[in-house]
Amino acid sequence: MRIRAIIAKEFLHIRRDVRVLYFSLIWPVLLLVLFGYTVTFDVKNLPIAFYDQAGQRESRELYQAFRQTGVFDIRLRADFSWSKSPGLLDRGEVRGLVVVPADLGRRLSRGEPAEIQVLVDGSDNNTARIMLGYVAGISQDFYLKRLADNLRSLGASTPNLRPPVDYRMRFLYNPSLRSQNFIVPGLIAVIMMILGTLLTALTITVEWERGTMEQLFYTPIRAREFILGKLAPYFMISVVQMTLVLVTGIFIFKVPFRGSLLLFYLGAALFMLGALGVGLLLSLISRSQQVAAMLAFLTSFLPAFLLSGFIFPIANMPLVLRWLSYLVPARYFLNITRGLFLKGADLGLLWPDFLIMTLYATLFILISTHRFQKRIA
Amino acid sequence: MRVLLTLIKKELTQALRDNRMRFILFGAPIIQLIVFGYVVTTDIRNIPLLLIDYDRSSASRELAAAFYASGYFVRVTAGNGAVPSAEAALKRNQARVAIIIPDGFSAYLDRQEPAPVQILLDGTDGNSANITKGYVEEIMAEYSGKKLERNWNSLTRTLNLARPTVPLLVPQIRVFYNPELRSSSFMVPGILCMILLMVTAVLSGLSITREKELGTLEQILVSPLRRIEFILGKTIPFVLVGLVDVVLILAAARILFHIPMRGSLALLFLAALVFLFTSLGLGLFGASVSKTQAQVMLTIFPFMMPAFLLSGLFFPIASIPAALRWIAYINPLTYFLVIVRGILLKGAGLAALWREIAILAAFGAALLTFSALRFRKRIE
Repeated sequence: MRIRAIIAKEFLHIRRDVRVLYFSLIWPVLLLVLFGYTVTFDVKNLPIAFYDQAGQRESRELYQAFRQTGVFDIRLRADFSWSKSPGLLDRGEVRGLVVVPADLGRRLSRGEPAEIQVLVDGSDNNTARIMLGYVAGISQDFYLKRLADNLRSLGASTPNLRPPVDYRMRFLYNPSLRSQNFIVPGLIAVIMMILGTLLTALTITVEWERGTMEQLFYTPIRAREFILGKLAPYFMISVVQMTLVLVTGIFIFKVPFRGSLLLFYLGAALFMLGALGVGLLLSLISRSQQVAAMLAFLTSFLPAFLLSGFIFPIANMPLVLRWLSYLVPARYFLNITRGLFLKGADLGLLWPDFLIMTLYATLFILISTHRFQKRIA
Repeated sequence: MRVLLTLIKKELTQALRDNRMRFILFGAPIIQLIVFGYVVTTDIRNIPLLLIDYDRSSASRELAAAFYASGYFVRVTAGNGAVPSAEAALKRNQARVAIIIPDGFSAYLDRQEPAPVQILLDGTDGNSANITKGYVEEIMAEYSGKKLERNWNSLTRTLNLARPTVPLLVPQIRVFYNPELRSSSFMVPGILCMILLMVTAVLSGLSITREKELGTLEQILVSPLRRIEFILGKTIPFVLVGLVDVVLILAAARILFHIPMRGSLALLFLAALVFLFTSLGLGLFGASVSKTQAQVMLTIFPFMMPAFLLSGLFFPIASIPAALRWIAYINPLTYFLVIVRGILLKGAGLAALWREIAILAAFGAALLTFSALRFRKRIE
């Protein structure tokens, strides 16, 4: 009965401010759309300047080879100068310069190695690396083609140009490598972590800050009831929010869901309890909302975003951070959502993740209830 | 003026007397820098690779060695000598890539027929899978190139021809600004921008609303303090904190990640100051539409995530679909990022960056004025 009063009070707060509902229901969908379209390390429309100082068949062949990659946005120029042209990189107008020297054709016909200059803006290392990969590929093709021509002209009827190894790559679970397919399951974990932690952290701290907590102490309410009453509304909202994201993911982004819905909700509930528990603990540590808000951001969003394997693979991290990632609940929930969405995994495969999440949820809630009781006493 | 100074002093004392707040203002940015700097990287390494070799020939071992020697992959060993099923290993997350070299691989090669190899990749993490695909192609191209050349060599021998001399095309590559192509050189300047936005926008918004929430705003309003002094007194402390954070982060970036500082420090401070207009404008805007601190969070936070995503901080703007790209161009963070990266990595000066700084200044002035006016109206 007393729990219900707290729940009703909390819902009243939420109803008074539509922003909570916007934040927990509409914003996640918006975020999903933005993430779904922007999270890609693919490189497209890369602006480069191509200085064709030779203006011959071979240099045009090179130009065509760069064009055919479909990656570059090429500006063709003729007048390269060492003092002026690299300024294009400084100003960020282009990301690279390719300079074909005037004597390209002459050197090639004499059988001498021909040099082309490639100047690359390395500040975005990923883009630079991709560009260097293309440059290497283009010059290798250029060489192989000439080698084959040469063999043919020497009388070898048909040099075998077929690649010696016929390798087939197959992407399991996400054959077309759609980024939405891996963003949606991961983002669910990140959003729930933010929501659970931030909202609870603020809603309890506000009682401390305004002094209404003391008033609550005078009422016959018990710590357990207070905490459950505070958590329940956000738990309910999060169930709605989870469903919304799930529906958006499955029906709008067409992400396949191959596992069991029941397992998904079970995992989500466990994870949410853990997140709410973290928020609760934060609100007990910090007495001001400023501190609570920043701590919530630091302990929920950052680890869930960075250390869970959401975008950046865990295997890639330095050892210390890899160890740290074991402490991040989102890591386990991410395994569950990706497993259920894409791999069609079942409990036989996912039980360790469920077990760890249960431990987390129990631990966080027990610790915070305990601390809360001590504070009241 | 004296009143203003008093207010700034009060605000700073209030923020700095709390241990936790001191940690948030000066400790947390460093932690964020470290975590982001190490985690956010696009050089994917240590990819667990399961290689199943049914051929057991020198050619297949050569291929396997090429993969292990590349430095991108780590070998997944199957327990008790049994060959685990490739698909099971992928499903259990034991391996991300499985390569299956079938029996007869070397026989195909010897006959100069395309030798089949099957490669399975875990596509759940689409970006890593894509990068991994690039690595596989790179290694395969090199292996194929070697075999092709061997075939041609034997061809010239059988035809009894002299080995043809072939002109090579040699790309002379010069990488500017970040020759080792380190991810951290790219990320760390970005993190500086992100932290600056977060600390100043959120905390200034919260600090103003706190007075509203506690009812002390009314007391301030009846005091001789003018509105503009109140707004300045609430924002200037965070300008100071923001600038101290810039210094801290730059020092940490230098020591931990060896990020160079090629341009002018003064220009960087000028740009940071200009950017703070925008960031404090956002905080003030949040405060002007909120009665409680929770509302401020709920107003500012949803703005920040898209701002981070659509700024070129992690993902190149040119790769964003055109329908969303315009958001990046009206996002002040985009311009601040160009400035910070330009100064730190490229040593760019005012001549190269004046356009970005001007845009940022215009944006900040507009937002700050709008928010300040809105805020004044709200409290009158």
